[in-house]
Amino acid sequence: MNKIYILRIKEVLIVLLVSLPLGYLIYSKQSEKIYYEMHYFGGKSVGVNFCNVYTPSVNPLLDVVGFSGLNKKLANTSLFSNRDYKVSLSFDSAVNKYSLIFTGNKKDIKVYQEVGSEIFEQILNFEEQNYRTVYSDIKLHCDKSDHALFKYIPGKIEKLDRHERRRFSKFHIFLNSISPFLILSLLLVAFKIVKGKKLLSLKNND
Amino acid sequence: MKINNEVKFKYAAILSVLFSIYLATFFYFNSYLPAPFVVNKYDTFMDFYNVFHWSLRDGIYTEWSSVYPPLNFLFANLFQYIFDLQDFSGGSGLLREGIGQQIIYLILIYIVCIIISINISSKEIFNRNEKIYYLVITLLSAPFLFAIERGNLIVLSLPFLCLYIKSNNSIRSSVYYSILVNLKPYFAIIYILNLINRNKNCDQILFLKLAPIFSLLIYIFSGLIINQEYYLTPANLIGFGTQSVLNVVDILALPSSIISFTYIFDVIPSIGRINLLNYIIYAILYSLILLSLVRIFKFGENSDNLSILAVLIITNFSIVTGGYGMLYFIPLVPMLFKEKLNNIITIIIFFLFLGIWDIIIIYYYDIGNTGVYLSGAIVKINQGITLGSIIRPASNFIILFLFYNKLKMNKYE
Repeated sequence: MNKIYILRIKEVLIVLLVSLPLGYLIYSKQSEKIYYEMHYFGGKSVGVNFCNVYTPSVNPLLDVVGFSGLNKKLANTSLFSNRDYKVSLSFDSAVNKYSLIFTGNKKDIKVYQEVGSEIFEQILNFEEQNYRTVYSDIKLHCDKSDHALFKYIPGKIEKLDRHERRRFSKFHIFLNSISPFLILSLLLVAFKIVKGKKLLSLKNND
Repeated sequence: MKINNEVKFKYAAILSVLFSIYLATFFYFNSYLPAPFVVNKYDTFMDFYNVFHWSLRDGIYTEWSSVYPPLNFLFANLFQYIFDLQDFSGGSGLLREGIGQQIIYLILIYIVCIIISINISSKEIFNRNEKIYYLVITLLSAPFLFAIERGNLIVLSLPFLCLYIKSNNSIRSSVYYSILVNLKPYFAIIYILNLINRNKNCDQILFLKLAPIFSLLIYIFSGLIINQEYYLTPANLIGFGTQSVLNVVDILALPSSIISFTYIFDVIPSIGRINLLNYIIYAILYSLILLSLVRIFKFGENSDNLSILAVLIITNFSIVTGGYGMLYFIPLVPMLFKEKLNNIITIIIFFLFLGIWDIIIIYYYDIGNTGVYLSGAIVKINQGITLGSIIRPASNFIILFLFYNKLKMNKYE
């Protein structure tokens, strides 16, 4: 019974030969996969101390609700719905930081950089729009004139932090690369078991 | 006076229809679904949307620590492809808001699964009327309605369970078993029972050889396709089993095991904890399961009885399977029908499936106002431990006890 599970050397070589091209293809595709991250500190609305009635303050231009609206707007654009890569945008309101993570291939880094810059331009525009809606008209009256309470400080796209990291661990790539060999071996063992059983029932019928 | 099974099915079907009318009326006047549905009324369909959300992104087994084998996510991907569903980044809640109306496709698939399951399992056993009544009972049963409200993928495993039970070819039964165990890993109990079974014929030995090979094949193949860290499933399963990740109030919503009684002390502090009672519950239940296993090992059983025992162990052993695990009794009823175990059939139909026991609330929770997904309202929820929360686990245990006694009476050479 135990011999059924053991593949002969000839069988192992044949399975290896058949599974090698597929295994190599999986290895080469998966080792190319990366995460490409871009981080951007958002713009601010800075409250200045006019007329000695207001303490200086620094406010991010989007909150969680505002970011949700931005995300929905961007999700419908061609920047986000692209076949060649996946992209996700998140926002850490505590530190006013946007994070873009592209999931794709190493060879497309330049594309991610261009798309990322475009997305951050749109964020910049959205923030400025938000400033104009919420903050720009707030004025204090003193010294016989009106003074805008808040000043707009835009985020700096030139200061984008970018880096890449491997998407799959070495173990994951290794396991997936040998999966065709494992699958074919299991199929061969199953075939031998079924064949063995059929031969046995033929023998018993004789 | 003995009542024949067709008449029993008819009365149970009528009661099921009355229960569904009660649910619809309650929802109309109160804007939420009452017990046996879970207390968190905003969590409707989220079992499905969580799986669907994660099937579209990285981190299934690393970030989410999923316990579902990769075949479940393949189904979610297939669902997306067939119904052309759009992804929404930002969480599974946002996904539900974006494609919520398309849940109707999943509900239709679930209904088809039940119809297929009943057709397979009751073929040449039920007459036409019995089939129709049984269909009404199961479609309007508490476990099925609960499974729909959760959006749980458990319903998909039912046709494969029926195919496995009905199959008399060991190659086909190995394939069906492999799909089952790749949908819900606790079906490994079927293999264990076959392994320890004393009376193994050639077909069962062939099943024991082929089943692990096909299971591994499907596991590796589906893992390769979804291309995520599927090999972490065993570690995640152990973590899920050892940590208390389930909400106590949800455990008591539709329990199937008497283990759930040990959680009652957590929600009714005025009773005072009686640890001895917990130990007694565990001791009685696990002793009965152990005796059944010893019986199989010493005397052996046929494959039908092994399947019935597997379902009884899965639904009794712990609270982890959830109340919708009682759906696995659907293919058992025709088998019990054939064996003329009418008392067990009566308990299943009238006490496990029927939802009317949940109309009676024994102890109310203090929940307050909460949002309800289905109606969009914010309402005060009046819910608690129901009579059903007591009757179902007790009935399931009684079924296990009665079945064990039936095994004791079997004589095999």
